[in-house]
Formats: sequence, structure tokens, C-alpha cells
Amino acid sequence: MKKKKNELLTEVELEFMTELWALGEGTVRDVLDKLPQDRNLAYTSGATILRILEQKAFVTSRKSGKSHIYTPTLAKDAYQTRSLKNLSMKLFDDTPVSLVARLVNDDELTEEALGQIRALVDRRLKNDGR
Amino acid sequence: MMVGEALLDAYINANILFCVAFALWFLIRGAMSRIGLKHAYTTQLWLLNAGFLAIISAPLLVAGFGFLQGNGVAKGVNVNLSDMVVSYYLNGGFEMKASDFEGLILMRDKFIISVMSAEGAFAKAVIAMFIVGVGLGMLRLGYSIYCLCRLVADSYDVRRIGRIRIRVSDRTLVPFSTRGFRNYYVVIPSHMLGQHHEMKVSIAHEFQHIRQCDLEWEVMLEALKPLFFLNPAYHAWKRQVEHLRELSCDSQVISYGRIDVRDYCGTLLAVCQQTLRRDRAFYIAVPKVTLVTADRTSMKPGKSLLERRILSVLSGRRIRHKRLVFMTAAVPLMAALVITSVAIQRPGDWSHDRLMLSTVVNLDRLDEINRLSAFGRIRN
Repeated sequence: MKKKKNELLTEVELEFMTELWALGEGTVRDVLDKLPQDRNLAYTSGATILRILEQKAFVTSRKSGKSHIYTPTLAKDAYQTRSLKNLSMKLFDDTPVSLVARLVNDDELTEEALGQIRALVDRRLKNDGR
Repeated sequence: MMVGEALLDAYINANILFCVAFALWFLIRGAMSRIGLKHAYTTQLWLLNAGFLAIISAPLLVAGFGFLQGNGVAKGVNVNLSDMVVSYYLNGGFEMKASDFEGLILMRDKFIISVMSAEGAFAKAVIAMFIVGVGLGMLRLGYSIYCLCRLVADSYDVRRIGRIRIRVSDRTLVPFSTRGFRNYYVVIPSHMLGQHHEMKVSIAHEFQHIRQCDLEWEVMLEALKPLFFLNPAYHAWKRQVEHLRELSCDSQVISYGRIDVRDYCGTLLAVCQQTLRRDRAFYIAVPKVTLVTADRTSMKPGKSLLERRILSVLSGRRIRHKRLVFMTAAVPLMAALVITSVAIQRPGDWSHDRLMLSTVVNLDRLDEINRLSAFGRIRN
């Protein structure tokens, strides 16, 4: 199958990848079963979405009996980094500081969360200083 | 006649024909509305397409008419407009100075000769404007086709049914169909994969466009657009085709009874909402046929196309005997177009009336000279 380079996932693809990341690997039916009841997605639509994800090189598949088992090729945190980089580039003029500033200035952020962010930054600085 | 002159002549004729055909189409549409055939969209679309075909094949029709006359069929019949006007003038139909009238009659010939010889500032300006206009139009078309090819190439194959390929794209918000040399492509936006009803409606709609051969007509209209960039009738014609093919497609899809009217209207509204988002590459890409587009350019008060489409779908009117209605309207339209095609040709040779007109003009000139003295003073 011809692979196409596509950096980001669409909304519905992300929904599928999230379930697949949680499962580790799974068939179309496994992923559909994990989706909320009201999603009401047809099996063929699910199969199409996973096939597109394979064309985009986000998953690989192997045949097992009559069905295909899909495995993510990209880890969730790797995708999170990619997605944040994209967000930083498109919405924050490619300055990650603006992105963090916006996040830190959010009133809904609790003191505990802010403390955790500080700890993460400190740890990163300490590691870089070595 | 030189090849260049013949081509320019055919081009002028085609422009005139588009104007005449559009005026005739307006009359026919008005007549159809009066007799309760306002909603016969498929028939109206067929009429427009038949008219278009008649216009682009006008040189063949004229050659065919000439061939028939050359073989003794309707030999005495002269429907040349220029000859008829000259005859009417000579019979005292209207008052005008002979030299002015001759100038008017020969205006087209003079224009063609001056453009072909590129003499004078006016001819040069016309040539420059035409080359720039056509060149820009061709560049735009080339870029549009490139955008469309990329859009299709970047999409993902979902299913193949014969020569039709259903693809899903992240880069479009509106379903559309287009065609290559061999295959048809129906491209569905990826967000629709989670919307079963919208996907079903979109595929049914685009399949109907393929059945109606709308893509082929769109390719032809887009291909000729750079050539007729100055002709408002051509643009109006294209717009009419675009509106009618959507209205016709809607009524056909609903008439099959496989899709719920509510789902259909809901999809049209949802997709229209999506088109309001910015999607420049999508707007540029042609030739394609979309499910729906938001008409941002319309400045006219009144119903939008989307509103007309929804009202038409909800009314659920069916027109019986489409082919009969089409034939009834197409025969006079085609006859009028064939006669106009022949009538607007440049007269082939000097007819008796033209010789008479030339004689009258020469006599007028002699009279004018006689009225002048040898020293340039008026005698009486």
C-alpha cells in the first residue's frame, strides 16, 4: 500500500487512535466497541478510517484469520509533541514561550497543576545543565 | 479567406451566438414558467447543454448548410442577415445615408482586416487585451487543474466501483466529484466518515452528477472559459448550468426514494456551513462539481441557490414526459440557433443588392464631388 505523509490526525482519526493507543492493538470491532454507544458508527466506516490511518503510516496491520489487527506505529506522547509543535507554529507564531505563557495564565489552572509544571521545568533545566 | 481571418470570424460568430442563445434561453425559460414547467430542471439543463453543443458545432452546421445548398437543396434560400438588411434598406425600409450604412455593414470586415493586419493603435490594443485575457485565463485554468490534481492525489482510496473511485480527503470540507482521462473521482471530506447520513447523501448526489454527465459539461465549459472571458453571456450561461445541474441532481436523487428528504436537506445545510470556512485551494480547483457551495458573490436580493434547492426538494414536484417537453422546446431552439449561425456569416460574394448599394454609394460620392467646385467651394 502506498504510504502518504500526513503529519496530523483529523478529529475522527484521533478518536480511533486514542482507543488504539489504549488497547495497544486491536481489530476494527475492538476499536468500535470502545467508542461511546451513541457514536453509532458503521463497521465499514470504522474499517475505512483504520485503512486510511494505515495509508497515513500511523498504524500497521497484520492479518489474523479473517480480520486485520491494527497496531499504532507512533506512540501517543510522540504524537502529542508533534501536535503541540504544530499548534505552536500555527497559533503562537512558532514561539513555544507564548504557548506556555497562555497555558500558565489560564485562571482555571490549579496551584497544584502549576507546581507540577514548575517541577517539570526544573527537572528539564537540571538535566540540560548536566 | 485566410486561416486567421476564418478563425477570428468563427470566434466572433460564437460570441454572437452565445448572446443570441442566452436571450432565446431566457424566452424559453419564461414560457416554461408560464405553463407550469418552472420545476422541469432536468429538461432545462438538457436544453442548455443542447444549445451549448449547437453553438460550438456551429461551424459544422454552417458547412453542412453550405454543402446542402451546393448540392441543390434550398438553393434559392438566402438567410444571410447582412444581405437581408441591405435588401431592406434598398427597398426603403429605413432612412440612412448610403455611405454611413455601407460603413455599418462593412464594420465587421474592416475590424477583422484591421485586427489581422495589426494596423493602428485600436487593433493593437484589441490584440494585446485578447492575448493577456486568454493567457491569464489559461494560467488560472492550469493552476486550478494542478490544485485539483493535488487535492485528489493527496486523498485516500476507499472504494472502487468500475471506473468510479471513492476517495476521502483531509484537505476538503465539501464533497465533490471530478474526472481524469479514464476514471471518475468522488472525493468525500474525512470528517464525513463519522457521519453516515451525510456520507450516503454526498455519494448519491455525486454519483447522480456522474450519471447526468455533468462533469463532462463542466470540463467543456471551464476549458472554453478563457476564450470567452469577455462575453458576459458565456458567464451567465455557465452560472445557469451550475444552478440547474444542482437543482436537477437534487430532484433526481430524491425521486429514487432511497434517501430521506430531511437527511438530504440537513446534509446540504451542514456542508454549506462548512464551505463558509476558508478553503482557498478548494475554491480554486476546477473542473469539479461540488455538493454545495456558499454563494458569497451573490449581491442580488431574493432566494439563494441553497434556499431554492431546499424548497425544491421539499416540494417534491415531479415533471412527467421530460423527453417530450425537451423535444418540444429543443426543436425551435435548435432551429433558431442553426438559422442564426447561418444568418450571421459574412456574405460570401457580391450579391445583386450589395452591388446596388455600392453603386448608390458611388453615385452619392459623385454627387458630392459635383457639388464641390474645383477650388473646394460649394457651388450652390
